[in-house]
Amino acid sequence: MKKQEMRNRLASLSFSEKVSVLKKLRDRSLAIAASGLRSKSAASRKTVSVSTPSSQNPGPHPKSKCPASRLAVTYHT
Amino acid sequence: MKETFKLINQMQADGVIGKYAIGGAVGATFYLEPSATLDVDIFVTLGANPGSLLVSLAPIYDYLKGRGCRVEGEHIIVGDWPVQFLSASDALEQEALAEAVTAEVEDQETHVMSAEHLAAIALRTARPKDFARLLQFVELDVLDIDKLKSILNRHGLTLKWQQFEQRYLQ
Repeated sequence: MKKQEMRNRLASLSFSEKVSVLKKLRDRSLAIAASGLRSKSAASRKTVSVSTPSSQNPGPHPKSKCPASRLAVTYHT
Repeated sequence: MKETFKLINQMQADGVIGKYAIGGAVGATFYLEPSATLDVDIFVTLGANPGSLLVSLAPIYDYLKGRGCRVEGEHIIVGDWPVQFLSASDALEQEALAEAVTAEVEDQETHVMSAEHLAAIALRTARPKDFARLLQFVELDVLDIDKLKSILNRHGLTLKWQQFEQRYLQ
């Protein structure tokens, strides 16, 4: 099955079926996080802090935990 | 998630919250392919406390904690899902709440923001994952473009949409 067909098929599932997939995706993410694989992977990346002028900074999104004046940018190396 | 919405519906029936609607990734999943998320965003209408202009989520937390839910950071665990309650605080979110569509999850009735309102909120929020979601909406052709443009016009987002089109769709 082509990727686009698979995406269309997933999109056409009922909401209940999609919620069941969401739960599996969430459990997988939590399992990966608990295994420590993600932190090892993160350690191999280079993290750079970038300061932005407050005049260009629209402020944090309500869900963001980042201070408005400092954005952490992560680059895969 | 059945238990989650059962409890939220009961909370609504008991008058703790007014109308509510699912937004964020779970709301978008109603229209799109499922994408990984750790929580459920629920937008609600709340009354201000008498004598105060501040809107408080405390009645929601008190109600749910009284029914065995526990608080974890900015979430409260309802059923088996972390839920973040967000007050519909501006005209766009209030309109999204008013025009939410009814959906069903595992025999529980619930309400989801329209695809166009989810897209408008994603455009305004403008994080990389919001643009990715917006592209999914466009690619899967689930948006009523006239309705979307009308919403964007009403809420001052037309320029942002033009910039998004230029950057990602042309």
